Amino acid sequence: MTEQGPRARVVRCEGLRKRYGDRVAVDGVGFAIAEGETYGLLGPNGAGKTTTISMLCGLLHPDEGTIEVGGSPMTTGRCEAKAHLGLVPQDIALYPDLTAKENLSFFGKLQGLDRGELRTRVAEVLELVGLADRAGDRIEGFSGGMKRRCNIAAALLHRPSLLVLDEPTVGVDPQSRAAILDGIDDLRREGMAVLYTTHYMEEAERLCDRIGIIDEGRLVAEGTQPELVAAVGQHPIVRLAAEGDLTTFAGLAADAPQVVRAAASDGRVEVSVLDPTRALAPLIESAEAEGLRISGVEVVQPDLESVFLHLTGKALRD
Amino acid sequence: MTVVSAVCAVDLRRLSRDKVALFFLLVLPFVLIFAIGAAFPVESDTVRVGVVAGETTGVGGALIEAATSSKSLEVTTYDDVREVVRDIRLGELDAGIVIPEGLTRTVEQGGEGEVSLELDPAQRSSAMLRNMVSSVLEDQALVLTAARFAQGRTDAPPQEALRVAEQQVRELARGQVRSITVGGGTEAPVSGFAFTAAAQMILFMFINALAGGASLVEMRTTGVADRAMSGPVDAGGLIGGLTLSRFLVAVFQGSLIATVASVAFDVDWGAPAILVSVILLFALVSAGGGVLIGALARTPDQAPAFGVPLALAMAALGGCFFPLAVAPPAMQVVARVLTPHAWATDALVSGVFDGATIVDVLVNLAVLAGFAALFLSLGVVLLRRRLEHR
Amino acid sequence: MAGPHTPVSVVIAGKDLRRSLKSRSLVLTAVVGPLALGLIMALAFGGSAGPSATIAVVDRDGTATSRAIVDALREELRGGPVRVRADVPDPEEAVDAERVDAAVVIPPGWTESLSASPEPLRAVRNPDRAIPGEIATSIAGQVTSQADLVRAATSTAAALGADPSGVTQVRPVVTVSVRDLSQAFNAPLYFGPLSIFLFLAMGTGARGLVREQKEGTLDRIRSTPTSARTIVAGSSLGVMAQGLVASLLVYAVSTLLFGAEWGRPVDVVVILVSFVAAISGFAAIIVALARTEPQAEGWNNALAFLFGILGGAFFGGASLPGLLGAVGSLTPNSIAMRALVETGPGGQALVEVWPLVLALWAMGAAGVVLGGAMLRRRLL
Ligand SMILES: Nc1ncnc2c1ncn2[C@@H]1O[C@H](COP(=O)(O)OP(=O)(O)O)[C@@H](O)[C@H]1O
Ligand SMILES: [Mg+2]
Repeated sequence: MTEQGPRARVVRCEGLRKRYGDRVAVDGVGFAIAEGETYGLLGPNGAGKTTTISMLCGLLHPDEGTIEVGGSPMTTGRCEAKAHLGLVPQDIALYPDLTAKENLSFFGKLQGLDRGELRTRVAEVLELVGLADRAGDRIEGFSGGMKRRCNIAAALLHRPSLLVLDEPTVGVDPQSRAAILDGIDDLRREGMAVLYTTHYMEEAERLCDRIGIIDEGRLVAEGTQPELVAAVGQHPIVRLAAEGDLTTFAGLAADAPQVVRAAASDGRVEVSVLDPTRALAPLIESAEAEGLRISGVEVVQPDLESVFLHLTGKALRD
Repeated sequence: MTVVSAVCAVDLRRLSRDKVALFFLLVLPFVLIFAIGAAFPVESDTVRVGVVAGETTGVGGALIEAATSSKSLEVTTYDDVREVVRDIRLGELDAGIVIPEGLTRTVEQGGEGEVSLELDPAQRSSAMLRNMVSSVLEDQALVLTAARFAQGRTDAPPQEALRVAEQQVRELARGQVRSITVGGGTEAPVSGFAFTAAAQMILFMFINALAGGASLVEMRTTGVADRAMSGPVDAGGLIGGLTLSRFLVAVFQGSLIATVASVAFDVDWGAPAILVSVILLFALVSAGGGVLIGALARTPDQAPAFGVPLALAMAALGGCFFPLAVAPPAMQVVARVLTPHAWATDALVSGVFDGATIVDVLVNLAVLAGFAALFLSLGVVLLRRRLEHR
Repeated sequence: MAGPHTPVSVVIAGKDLRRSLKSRSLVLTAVVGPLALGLIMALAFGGSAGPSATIAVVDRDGTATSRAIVDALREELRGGPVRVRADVPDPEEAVDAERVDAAVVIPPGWTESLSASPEPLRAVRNPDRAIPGEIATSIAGQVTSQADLVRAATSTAAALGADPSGVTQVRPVVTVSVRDLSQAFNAPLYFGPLSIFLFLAMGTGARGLVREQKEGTLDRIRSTPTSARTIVAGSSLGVMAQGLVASLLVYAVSTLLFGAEWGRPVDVVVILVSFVAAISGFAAIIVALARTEPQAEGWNNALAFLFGILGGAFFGGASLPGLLGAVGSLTPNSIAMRALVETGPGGQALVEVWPLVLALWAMGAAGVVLGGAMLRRRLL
């Protein structure tokens, strides 16, 4: 989907390692993100996403590894590297007792915006996240979704070249979530590099050009979604909802051409196939021949969920 | 009832783990009683006077001599009047006497001398000092004054007037003051810590109850109350338990101060019935105050942020920092209207100092019961509303 | 508020100040609290206090002279702390029963006796009422010496040929003037409670960085190009700003509304700023040394009250006797109080108390630098 190479790398990290006592939170993580690229870090809770991001943003000293942002090395003390960075922390990092505008002005000043710039940028960013009419209200009076949007807005004021979002949609209503994802798409189109962590595979699929799958501190796979799926050898699934002797049918179907495997479970049969366009018609025919009453047919393309399951032997969400 | 005692037990257990609360409950009251008791012995018999001696002979010398030999004055010599003023303001002196340089010479040369007293006229020792200094000066300047007076009425030359005055004063039979001592010495002296122990008891029972209101707010805001009430617990049980724990803590605080004061600071509390009933009733008042602030504060931090200044102000107004009797009458009225403290300290002080019996303080006890009923009912109603309708 | 190039530390301080003003607990704790306490104390001690000694003056002589003396005494002591009662028939009994604190008795035939050998005046005293006893004695002493003065003056004048009959009072050539110190200065009444409440409020401010770490806003600040040094400096500046706003408000309101007298404004402001600096130092060290925020709060509040008690905040600035007093005199509360008292009306110039001011700044600088460095290592 994306061609690398000609576009400049905004961030590059290598061999990041962080341990807390005996627990290794991040173990040899490395990746690079180019201008205009959205990179997803997908992994379950506790995988090490936040720890990775904290090191990347100069909040945490890595035990090992190197980080470069916007061409400058990132350490906890370096301000040049941080100037390229906009961080959206996992938890709402705003002052609940200050208004949206006061919060944004404050963080804008820390980014070194001068007064005129600050005024226009605060207005623009509030408009962008749809909070222009609530600028003068305190954060504590906002809904969860509004807080999340404002949390993102605070990272955009200085037009960072790298936007880092740590699970920005947790606990957000579907509408706000869609708005957030659309907004990130727009930013990418403007050329911003985005690092997006999530444990929702739909979000990673929908948003990211490239995805790194992280588990127990290790990057277990990396690539575009089709690359990842292909790499782990996953197949599309034909799912039949039906009544009748499903187990017998599953046994029969497993031996049919094009079929990799088949299994019956309460009220449906799932059949892994090589090519659904060719396998579908024979499957339905033989099902009717077996006397099954079919109430629904669904073709499911392999997703990151199954990739993750394959790679780690566990589900993304518990 | 089991709900009430369970809630109360949890609240007390939490308190017992709160080191800050324990410091304010177990340590600070005694530091304060000890410090204040040591700083202000109940009635000091000496007046501390700083003297700036511009001359040490003649009239000035006689004045210093008289001041030094007085048993009720404790004289310290200073070089600079500003230091005297400073030490009066720091409470290290009660008054200052400033003898100007060349006082005797000024007067002998026909001028008028002036000795100045630096003092707070509202202090009762001021009258004594003024009279004492005046009479010494009048005695010392007797010859000069008589000569000056006669000169004003005759045309005698100064030398002549002085000579005659000296002779007249020599022959003058001087007036005397005879001291007659009656009464006294029958009662054992009251411990210097008595007033401050009574005052701090009232102060700390209330202030700790208000600060403890934080735990109520915490229960309200962290959802513990919601969880409890989603079970088979009604608001009444919860409030009852929290009120009971505030009450028990206040009773404990009062009894502890009473005991330590009596054992360590030798305070005789007078009629036990007064002490016990004031502690019990004021503990109810305090519990009511705690519940009230627990209902009013929005966040746990607000309870001490509002409660501590409020409790200190009420204590100051209610006579816990100084005996209310020294305040202007209007203020005493205000104190009685606004604070239960005034009634409680008054009852305790009558027991300690005046040997009152419980019958003498029935009005105080009734008013305290009224305050307790007011605070408790207001607090419970507000808290119930906060818990049930949100 | 901020210009185009406001230093970032000032931006951070401004944010902290704004938040604390919005939450109202700064104003309630550190402004309303001290003002209320100070006003109560000022009203109690500043106004006309009730009588604190009642002296019976009993005229058993009953002549014009003795009556004039009693009237003059009542006039002289009117409105003061000593009340004179002339309606006590049996002074010995009244003093014994403690219905009056002491008595002065003019014996029968006293005026008569002045022409030869004067009858002594009597001071009736109760050992349980030492000071009133002294007051009665000194009143009797003054009446006696005034009588002596009149006798010496009139006899001298008569010897020189004048007729001074009818003279009852003679003005001595040396007089006493009283300078009233009660109203001239009452900063301690307000500064005492202020010093405690300020410590409480500034402690809350000093814990701000620890709170921000928990709430996540510190990470956001650290993700911006702001150095750790600037963040700590901004936070310390914010704490000082809060202390300063609170103390200046207390100073201004007590002066303008309650008529309090603190001393020369420049001196007062310099001393208040220095005190705020010292407290910032202590608050910073506490936050740096404590392991958790509640622990820091506990230490801070305990120290605030201990300093207050030892430093004399509860007794209008008076110091404690002995070792406690010695320890207390080292507290910033006591040092600042002393500086205020020394420079109060009629006192020294500010430059003369430089060691006190310097001591406050030294405490502040040491605490802020040390505590800041420790906090920086821990949080940033
Ligand atoms: N400050 C810390 N101290 C100790 N362990 C930590 C700390 N922060 C994170 N961890 C541990 O490191 C692992 C990774 O955590 P984190 O990066 O927050 O995961 P994620 O963001 O993917 O949910 C977890 O096991 C977590 O418990
Ligand atoms: Mg995380």
